[in-house]
Amino acid sequence: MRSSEEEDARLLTPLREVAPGEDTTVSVERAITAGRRKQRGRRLGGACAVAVVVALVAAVLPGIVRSWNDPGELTVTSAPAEFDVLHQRFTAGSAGGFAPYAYETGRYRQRMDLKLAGTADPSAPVAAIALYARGQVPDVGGRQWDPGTGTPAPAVGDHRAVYLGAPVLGADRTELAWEWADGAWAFASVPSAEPDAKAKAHHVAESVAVDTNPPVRVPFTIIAPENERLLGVVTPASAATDQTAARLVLGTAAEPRATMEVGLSAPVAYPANSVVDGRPAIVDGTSATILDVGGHRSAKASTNDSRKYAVEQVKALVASLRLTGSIADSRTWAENPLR
Amino acid sequence: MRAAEERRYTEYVTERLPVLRRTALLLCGDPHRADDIVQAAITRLYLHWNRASAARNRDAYVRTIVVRAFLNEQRRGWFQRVSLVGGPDETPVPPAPSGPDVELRTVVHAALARVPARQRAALVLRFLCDLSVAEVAEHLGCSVGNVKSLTTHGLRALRRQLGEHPMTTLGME
Repeated sequence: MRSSEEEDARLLTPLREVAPGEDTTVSVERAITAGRRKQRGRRLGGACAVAVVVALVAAVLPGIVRSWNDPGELTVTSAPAEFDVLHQRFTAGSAGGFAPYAYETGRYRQRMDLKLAGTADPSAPVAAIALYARGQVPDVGGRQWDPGTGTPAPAVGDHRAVYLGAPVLGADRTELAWEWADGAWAFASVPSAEPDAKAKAHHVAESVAVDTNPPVRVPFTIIAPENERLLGVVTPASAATDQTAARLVLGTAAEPRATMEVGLSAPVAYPANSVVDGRPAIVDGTSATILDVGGHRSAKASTNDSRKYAVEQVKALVASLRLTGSIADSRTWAENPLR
Repeated sequence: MRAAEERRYTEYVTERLPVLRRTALLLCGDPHRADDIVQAAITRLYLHWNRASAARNRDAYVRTIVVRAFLNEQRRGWFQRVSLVGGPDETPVPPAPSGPDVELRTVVHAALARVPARQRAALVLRFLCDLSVAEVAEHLGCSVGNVKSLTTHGLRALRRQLGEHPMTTLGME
């Protein structure tokens, strides 16, 4: 180790005294129960897989073959080439053991994440639904996803569907894609470790409704920096306990991967190291958090690209955040968060 | 798992829990998230108990599970980390006891928490768990050279967080 590194390493010396408090939520019993459940699930999954395959072949294959060979029977509607970021393009209910907990709008893709129903465990498996606009599909290894690479699956509603050979929404996933409208695909993704993962992915897909188009509502507004546009809005869904933890994603069309985010979160435990907009804040190279913006909430803005966005821009963004109406009353929240 | 093995698992985890919680706390900087990481890790340990029991160094094997549970949690996008469900963040943090040592720890820990996750893991394992570069590489599943690079960049990031003259600022000179 170089001498300058040795000196830097000394900076960590005070942390040698760090010790967790006596109060803990860790439970060995809970780990054993969860472990047993997972083991049972794996065993059951193995045994059920054969039965499911046989049942699928017997009950569904004729329908699949018919639907693939007879495009005239497919239900297709025209899909937009672009979504409105201030509206959810779809809704979904609890299905396959999962319940919606967050929704992300976007111009070309909208996404919902789901948690295991009835659990608040943050480590519980997450399922996901992603709906793409017409002509948009995810990248797989640098190439556009091709529906021809999947294997036929039971139709979702009346829409043709395929099981994916390789997942596109995450690793260790069982995924199903269906053509929700003409030339537009949606994906349902569940952890492969789940028993009957394929059936669950199908249940999740079946729960999607694209007829509704509800506006998003967030408990704050901001002033978007010049030349930046709103790329997406993240809002909590029914299974979330903190319904105020919404975030906005901003960026430019030229560099869509470089973004800034701003939103509300629970109070921060760390002490302030700066002042933003006359209020105590924590500021580092890529983020700025105002510790109290009212309603027992802190506000945080951050960027994933500090070369494009200087910290002063991040600070200005979080400083512009204002709560709308009552944080406890979603009827007073803004449908358009940009002032 | 057989009853005898389950008993051995319970004894082992109960004994190692303080160490595992400390490691997780050093990695993530938040006691509630640390507990979540340890809970996920010991559940995973239950599933792989036979492999852990047969491991040459069981403590290292289990520490690797904790480190990877932390990195997995970080790898989930900010969208998934938003803590919308059952937020441990919503639980009030008890006030820290005052005193210069505690304040120093808080400042350094806050700075460390802002170092990128893999770099942070390298620093914690190397300088607070006193592992060799080769052992850290094994825990992180990367090469020795990669660990050296993570360490260098991590220390640089930490120094950046703590200001131009961190030793003076922290009263360590």
